[in-house]
Amino acid sequence: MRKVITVFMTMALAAGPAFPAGATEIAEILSNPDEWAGRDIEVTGELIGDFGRHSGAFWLQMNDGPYANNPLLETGLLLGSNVGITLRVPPELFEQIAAVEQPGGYRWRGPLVHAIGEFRYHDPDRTGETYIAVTGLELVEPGYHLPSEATGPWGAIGVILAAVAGWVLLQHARQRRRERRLED
Amino acid sequence: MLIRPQASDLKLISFQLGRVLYVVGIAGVIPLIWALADRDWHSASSFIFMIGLALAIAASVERFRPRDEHAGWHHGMVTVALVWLAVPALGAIPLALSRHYGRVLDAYFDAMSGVTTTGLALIQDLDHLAPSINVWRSALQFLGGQGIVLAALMFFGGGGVLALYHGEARDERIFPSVGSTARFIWSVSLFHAAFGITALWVVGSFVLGFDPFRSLFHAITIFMSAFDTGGFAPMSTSIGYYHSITYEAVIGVLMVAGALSFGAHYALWRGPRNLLRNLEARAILITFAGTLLIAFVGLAATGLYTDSFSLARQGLFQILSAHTGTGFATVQPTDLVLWSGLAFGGITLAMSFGGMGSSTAGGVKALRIGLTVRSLWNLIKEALLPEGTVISERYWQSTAKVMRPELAQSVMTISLLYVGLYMLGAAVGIAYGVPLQQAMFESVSAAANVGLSVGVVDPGMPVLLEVVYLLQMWIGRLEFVAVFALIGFAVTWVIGE
Repeated sequence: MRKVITVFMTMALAAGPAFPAGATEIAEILSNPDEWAGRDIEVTGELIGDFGRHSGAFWLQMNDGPYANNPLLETGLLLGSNVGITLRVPPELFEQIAAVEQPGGYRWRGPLVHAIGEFRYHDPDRTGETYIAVTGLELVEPGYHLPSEATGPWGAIGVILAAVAGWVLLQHARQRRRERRLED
Repeated sequence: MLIRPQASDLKLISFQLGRVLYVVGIAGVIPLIWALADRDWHSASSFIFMIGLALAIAASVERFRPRDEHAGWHHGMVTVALVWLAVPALGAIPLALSRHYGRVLDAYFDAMSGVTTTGLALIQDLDHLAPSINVWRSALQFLGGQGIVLAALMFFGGGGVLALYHGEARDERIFPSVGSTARFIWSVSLFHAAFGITALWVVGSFVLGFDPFRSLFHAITIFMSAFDTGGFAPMSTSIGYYHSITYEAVIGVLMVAGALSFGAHYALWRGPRNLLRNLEARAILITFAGTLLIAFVGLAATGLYTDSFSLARQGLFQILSAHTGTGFATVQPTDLVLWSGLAFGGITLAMSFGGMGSSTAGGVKALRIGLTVRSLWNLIKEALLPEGTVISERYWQSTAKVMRPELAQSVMTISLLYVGLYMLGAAVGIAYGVPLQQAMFESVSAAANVGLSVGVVDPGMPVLLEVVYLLQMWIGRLEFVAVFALIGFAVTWVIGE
């Protein structure tokens, strides 16, 4: 069962709606970075890879491309490359999610989160890195296991092939020994 | 009259090819263990199939073992050209079975990109890929960078090794025998592996705060791709994923180490002064400084980075990655496209120059550039100085050498062939509507085995363009000669008598 846990917080404790409707697609942000630089933006996507912690914050990759909602292992659909951006999340915001979640990866669809923050494009404070400095984070859907792929006959065929190779090599070795004995 | 190859030639080539396939089978055990440890039965079965097939093919050609294993020059060249087609075909099996590829050709493209240490990728949903398959992608780069044939030589030795060695675009022997040179190369690599994996793991675990096991996974895959100037990264955002100058610095050291020839490693062990006397070392330092300067000026002109530290960090990493032929990036392809004008030109030039000869880097190579410039400079001097003036044709490359006209001609021919190869890919790209700058960038990236991309290489790219890039990677890695030998072999097979 996919329960929805909301751990919404805002760092700035600003008044008004923290998550205005409508997240921006990461691809749109990345293809027009100048337009979005320095602006507060909202993104929704899957946390994937690792939960890194350094420089006083958590560093997470968020993918909102086609696989965030349609994991390949679940749907079998190939929908192109991943589209992702880094989120820099203050510990107090992140720890509530980290307590219950792990990032996405093989056979694991990571948690879907909704983030709001400032898009830092080529941030001089981080020697030119690009990321979103998150001020609000909401868990939209927890991560879950993806189905394992069917193994198929390939392993068995491989074992047979390896056995045949071993037998052939043995025959050759015997033949060479016979030839050497005859030569001697 | 062209002489048709005989059955004995084919048998010898098949036998040598078989030996190399054993190496692929052995290499496949590493990701297999990873998959089994991960309880990833699907990937494990695909590795077992690949290993079984490699061993079966290799064993089946054992019967062609000749009494005299001595192979001629053309046998070696043809074998190497075929090896670099066959190994990606086997290596593509686990990739294709992973279901992360739209077409079998895409999996073959990625395997070729791996083996040739290019790093262009058509994989889809990389971020959910099985770790063992990711390890295999990097292992392909390690295997290709170290030299598949070189690995086979270490295991099996045998006759005709020199031709095989040269066919793989390695033309220096550090020690008198190819076998001892091969052992030296692998020793240097293992030394760097110990350093690189440890350093990356320490930074990943203690600076970036990754889980120690995940950090080891990143360290192993990144090391194999960095030291062998490959460029496959385990995450879709490449090195930009880590957001760490320290991590980038370690990777930078590994990329430079990979772009040095193993002769240069040997010279470095004996003292850096020996290395800096070499024409090749001087040439690579000059081209690196030149392209870096061009990129800096270009980047400053675009105004993409508002401060000099940002510009220096991002510019340096991208140029280092381009010049060493690695293909790692700290910026996304959509961002790289914005590095227009001079910055774009600087990266493209850096990619086209490449690293040192007999290294894992691709491109024209520093020694050829040094010799070409030297040769042109002599021509200018000849025209300007009074008739009869003696112009020195000596240069230093480990020892004092003389640039004979044949050498100058061969160097210029290969350099021109590279330019032609770059143009060919660009022309096909343009024909498909890719803008000139981007078509040139992607073509040079493929032919010089770099792997930086501005997004032209994409799972939805046209098949013909994909095939052209694939051939560019293959031809560029083998530096033409082995490919020409294979074409000659095929032609004489058809029309020879």
